[in-house]
Amino acid sequence: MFVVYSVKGTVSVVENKVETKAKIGTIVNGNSSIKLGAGSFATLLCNETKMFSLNKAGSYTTTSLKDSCKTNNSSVSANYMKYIWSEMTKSKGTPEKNRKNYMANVGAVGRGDINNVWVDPRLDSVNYVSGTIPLSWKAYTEADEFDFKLYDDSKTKILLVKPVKKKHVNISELLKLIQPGKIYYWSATVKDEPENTARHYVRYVPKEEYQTFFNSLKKTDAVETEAEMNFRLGFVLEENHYIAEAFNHYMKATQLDPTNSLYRYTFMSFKKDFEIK
Amino acid sequence: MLHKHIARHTKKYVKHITKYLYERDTFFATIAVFVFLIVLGMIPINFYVLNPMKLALKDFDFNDIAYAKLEKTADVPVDKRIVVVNTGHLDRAELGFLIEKVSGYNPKVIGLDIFFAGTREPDKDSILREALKKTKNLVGVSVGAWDKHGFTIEKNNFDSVITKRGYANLIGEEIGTIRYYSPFEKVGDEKYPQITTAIIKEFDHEAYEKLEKRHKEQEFINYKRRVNNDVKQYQIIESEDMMADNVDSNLLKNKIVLLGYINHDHNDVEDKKFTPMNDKFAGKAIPDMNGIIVQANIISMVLDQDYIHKTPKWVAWLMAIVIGWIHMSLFIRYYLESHIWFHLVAKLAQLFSVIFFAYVGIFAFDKFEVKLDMKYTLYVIALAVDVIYFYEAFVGWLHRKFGYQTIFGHHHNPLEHEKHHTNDHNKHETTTHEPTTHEHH
Repeated sequence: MFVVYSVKGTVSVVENKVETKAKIGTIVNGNSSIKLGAGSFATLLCNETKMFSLNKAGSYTTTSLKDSCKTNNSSVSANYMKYIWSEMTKSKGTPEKNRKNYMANVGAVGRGDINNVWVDPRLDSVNYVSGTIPLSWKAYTEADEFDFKLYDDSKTKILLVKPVKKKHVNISELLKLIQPGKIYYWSATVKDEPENTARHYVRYVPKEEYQTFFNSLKKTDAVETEAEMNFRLGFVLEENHYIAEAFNHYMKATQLDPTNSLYRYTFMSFKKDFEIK
Repeated sequence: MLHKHIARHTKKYVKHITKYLYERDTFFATIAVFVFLIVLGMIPINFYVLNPMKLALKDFDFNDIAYAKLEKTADVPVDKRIVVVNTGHLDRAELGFLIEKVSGYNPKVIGLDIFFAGTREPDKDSILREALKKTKNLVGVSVGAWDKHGFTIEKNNFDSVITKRGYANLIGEEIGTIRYYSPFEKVGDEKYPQITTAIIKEFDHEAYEKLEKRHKEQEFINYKRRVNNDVKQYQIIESEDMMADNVDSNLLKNKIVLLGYINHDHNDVEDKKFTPMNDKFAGKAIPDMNGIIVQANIISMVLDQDYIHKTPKWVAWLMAIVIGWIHMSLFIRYYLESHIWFHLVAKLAQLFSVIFFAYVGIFAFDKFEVKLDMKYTLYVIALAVDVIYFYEAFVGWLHRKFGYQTIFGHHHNPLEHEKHHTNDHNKHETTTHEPTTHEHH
């Protein structure tokens, strides 16, 4: 018997030809199998002690996983003797006498470039259609002023340099410079510091293209309430980097079913993550 | 033939140890070690202030090796009665939603290991307040502190909605190992529980009563489970998984759910404690266990009645006396008869004794959960060699001044020394006498 300890992605358990979504705590019995989708992983607990992870897509029968349950714990007494022996026979080198064995450290903090600005990875790619969202960042220093720069799709030609005192620029403020169907990049740098080399992607998606995509998302055979549909759309749009649109649908879901704590929690987290006030 | 050979040699070496065992000087020299030990202990100044060895080992316990290097708890199963939900860095409103969500899974008790200092955004505070109010089976944290009035509990703005509470304080130095906790403290005239005690009271009243009847001011924590990147002996659920209903409906039902902060990053030390399970058991290290997992270990221990039995102090002293006495007999034999080998034998005996008696302590701890205090025994073995020199000088003075009869006497009187050697040679023909050199020390 196995117990699902953690899952990420598409993981299901097949028992008597019935496939169900694997959840944390799901018990996988002898005749069942576990199916993993691409990019998914599952950690299983065997005999309540041994833990192992599956991260390759495919189907695994419980029989094929039995080998992962083997343990080779030796007694504390045996381990004590081994430990004493290994300590007594350990090389007595010192950093003074053998520097080569003692230089396995860098001795400095690692940085890709000089950059006191951090952008949440969620904002690294944004598909923009309409409305507004803040392109925001955080500063590691107590800076009062920043330079926001907008680049064309070559990442080199600067379209706009905007000194700002806040830590965000609303995308709606850039509408005069951007055109539907084109890709742009942006960066933020602490004023008077060397330019930040990180560029963040913004695509101005034409309304027609978005509508086609949205219609494909909306179609479903499942029976769902209006709130459920909006929550689902919000989630999928967020996954596809349509941040402003996802915001609208999350908000609608919360308004339609204000008692649902998942909707409220997700909406609040979403606002927090993207710094939407 | 071989067994006779072995028996003869064994007898010979046993005689090395027992030859001076019943000598008056062996008793007195052993007593001198204890006098020295007690006098050292009574000095109110910490002499180790600049001694790096002492400073490094100040927080050291031999049993820690059992966790750190000997995989003592490697096959301890996941405790199914306890589930830990990682709250991460959720704000108060998100925590409120999380509490509601967890409550929907019908756990028997929810332990919230988070303290809310002061007020924050009113809307978020209000969401949390509502959630706390609705969740009747929730046990919250109080912050307790010792001051001149005794143990006091700090007031908190959520006090009115958290009816069941306990302090989360553990016992340990600021950057020291957490080995003990206090199950109850007196606040005014009332007995106030630690958070784990309050949780156990709700979950298993029998275990609670047994803990109460132990009347211990502090309990030794029997660590059995850890959570890190390699080993997970408690079920941990991330808040996102919880909110997304990614959890089996039976996983939390009728169980203890602890809500607290778990940081998977080895270098993130927020609310992390040093425990005996730290892989580095002496010297500089980083804390190894999240506070919530320490509390979980306490709960598991109390529910299983799996307390560590500490032997009384007199047992530790008795062991130290007996073992110290035997060592003293061996050392004196080499000191007087084969002085050239004295330091080598003494060092080897000390080394093997430390290895052996540390093992005895670890074995008793592992098999019987009995904590033998071998500290005094090891101190005595370490001090015995130095004390012999001191003792010899002292009895030499007594001998010259008052004619005190001692086996060390001949070392101070060349004539007696000669006589002793001759007698000794006649008595023990098998014993090879090395020329004594210690007079030059």
